[in-house]
Amino acid sequence: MKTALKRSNHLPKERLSIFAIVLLVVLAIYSVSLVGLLLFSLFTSFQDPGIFTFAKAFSWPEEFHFNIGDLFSADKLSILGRWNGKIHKYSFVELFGISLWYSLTSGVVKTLVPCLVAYACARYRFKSSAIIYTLVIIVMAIPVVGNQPSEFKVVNFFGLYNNLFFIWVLKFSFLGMYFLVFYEHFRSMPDSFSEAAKIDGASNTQILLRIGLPLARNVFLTVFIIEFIVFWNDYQTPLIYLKDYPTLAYEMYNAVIFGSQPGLDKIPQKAGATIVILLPALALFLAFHKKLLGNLTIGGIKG
Amino acid sequence: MAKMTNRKKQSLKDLGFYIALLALPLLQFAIFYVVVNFNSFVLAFEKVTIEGGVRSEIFTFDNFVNVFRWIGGESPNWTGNPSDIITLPFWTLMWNSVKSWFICNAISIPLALLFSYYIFKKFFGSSFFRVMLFLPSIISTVVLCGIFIWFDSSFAAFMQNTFNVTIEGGGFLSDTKTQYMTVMFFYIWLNFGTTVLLFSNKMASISTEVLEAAKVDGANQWREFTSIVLPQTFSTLSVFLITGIAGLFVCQYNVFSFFGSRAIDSTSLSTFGYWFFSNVYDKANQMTPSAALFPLSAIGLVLTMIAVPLTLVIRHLLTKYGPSED
Repeated sequence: MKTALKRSNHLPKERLSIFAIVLLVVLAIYSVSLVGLLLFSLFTSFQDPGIFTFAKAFSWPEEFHFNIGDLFSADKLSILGRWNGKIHKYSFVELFGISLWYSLTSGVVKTLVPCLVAYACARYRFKSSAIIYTLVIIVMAIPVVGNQPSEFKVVNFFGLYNNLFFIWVLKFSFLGMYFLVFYEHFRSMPDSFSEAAKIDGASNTQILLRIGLPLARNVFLTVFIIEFIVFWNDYQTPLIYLKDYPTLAYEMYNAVIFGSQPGLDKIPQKAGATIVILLPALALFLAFHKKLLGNLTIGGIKG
Repeated sequence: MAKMTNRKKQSLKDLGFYIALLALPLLQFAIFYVVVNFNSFVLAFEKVTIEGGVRSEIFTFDNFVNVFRWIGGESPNWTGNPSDIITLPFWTLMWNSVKSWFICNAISIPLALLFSYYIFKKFFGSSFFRVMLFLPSIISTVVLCGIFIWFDSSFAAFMQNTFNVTIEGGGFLSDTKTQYMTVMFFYIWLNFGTTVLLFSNKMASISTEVLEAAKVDGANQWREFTSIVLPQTFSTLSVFLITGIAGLFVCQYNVFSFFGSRAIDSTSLSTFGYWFFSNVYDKANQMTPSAALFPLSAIGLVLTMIAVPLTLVIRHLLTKYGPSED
């Protein structure tokens, strides 16, 4: 499998054929339905939770109720978990903090590790570099089904189960597509930079920190934002491995499926929570969408 | 001589730095990939016995005997306690998995290719649609599922009150006749993001000279799409098809986000991916890891034995018979 940077391609604008008009209509319906669903959630978050019924969901609220604000009020929300083995009542701000910690640490690790391993493999032509590259491709291409029971046992064995501060160890992996993205990037870096630095007496660490990483900062930032959003939204890892430390996405799952936590048990309150969870990811996406949607292609798997 | 010594010193320094960069990631790989998968293999050959109140794990082929009984249509006795794993017939799970995988790919890949073409050609509003198609990828699945559940119930109530039209069960997701197709629709609807992104970026690398030559020859947009763009995008498409085989046994189609582990015994919704995750989730949260983790490992191993050759065969077929980019 190979990755490559996008080639710029300036196509002249063409007139829409019937074929393109049909696609335009389908895409327009798609966009309206998606935005409509998100607006429905925003609208519902302003309904009065005391009198809300599904029958009234599409009608204009008699009085606007700011449920998003209520979520941050410690008296109105009660989410039970554990902290240091003792039962603890979590506030919404604490859930936000746990989500931020989980997403930041896991996001940094999941970006930095493939970056450094790719740097080592691309810049140092030892035989093992080629082996690691092939290994990544084999692992990506060969599906392993049903190793979760074993993973659960190994995680337990190393004391990482329900361990908020070291959960990132699970993400300390270089496997995956972003290894290939970083690898291509470092391979295309001219040797002359590092050779000139070596002649000037720079050590390997200085070359990495002053040349390698700064030249990869755009790719690094892009991958980090994508990974941060993935972990911010991830509820299944915390559901299994962080039982006592609810993240926002985890608690949203509880609210959707069970809906029993006081302060987050009415539909308008849950709708308010969806807006709060959505906002950081949406803000990052809108700020960096050109970078995120930028320059990634995957080529074919070569024999 | 001094030059050689310097070069040797530099090589040693390089090697030391190289090892320092790789040591911890390789250790993590050794533990969380090699050990995990090897241990998964070992677990498949173990079962729990309790004698005189003492719990021990012994070597056995029982798990595989049970898996093959299950495949043969018999009711397996997984751990001496049949209720430990909620069992659906093997072929029900297989049928649901294959059907869902086929429906999703047969609808979403052609649509994703068409949408990508629209974006690649920079037709009206293409930048906006690109953002819209990718937007669901950055929103938490559980958030989207939650909103959809409330919308579905609200819509049913609205139809009842306004038009006196009854939707059974109070929503398409609640009615057993419509819930499967609703789940499939939702999954396809929100999963264009990465596919469209990669397809459209791949299309952007097609030479403009080829496209212009086709235009001069009188090719319309449909012809351009089918005869030039599709073959040129085939390498990316084949990556999707090859890596997508794993999805056959892993994909949950958002069923867990919609229903939690409640639909584990549903004969219409439960796929291998969902059934497997729900079982692990249920067993993992018990005080003592359940004895069910052992037969689950055996099932995983058998499914891997199906998925690996299937992946290799599909890869071979795509390489041999797929269109050439040249």
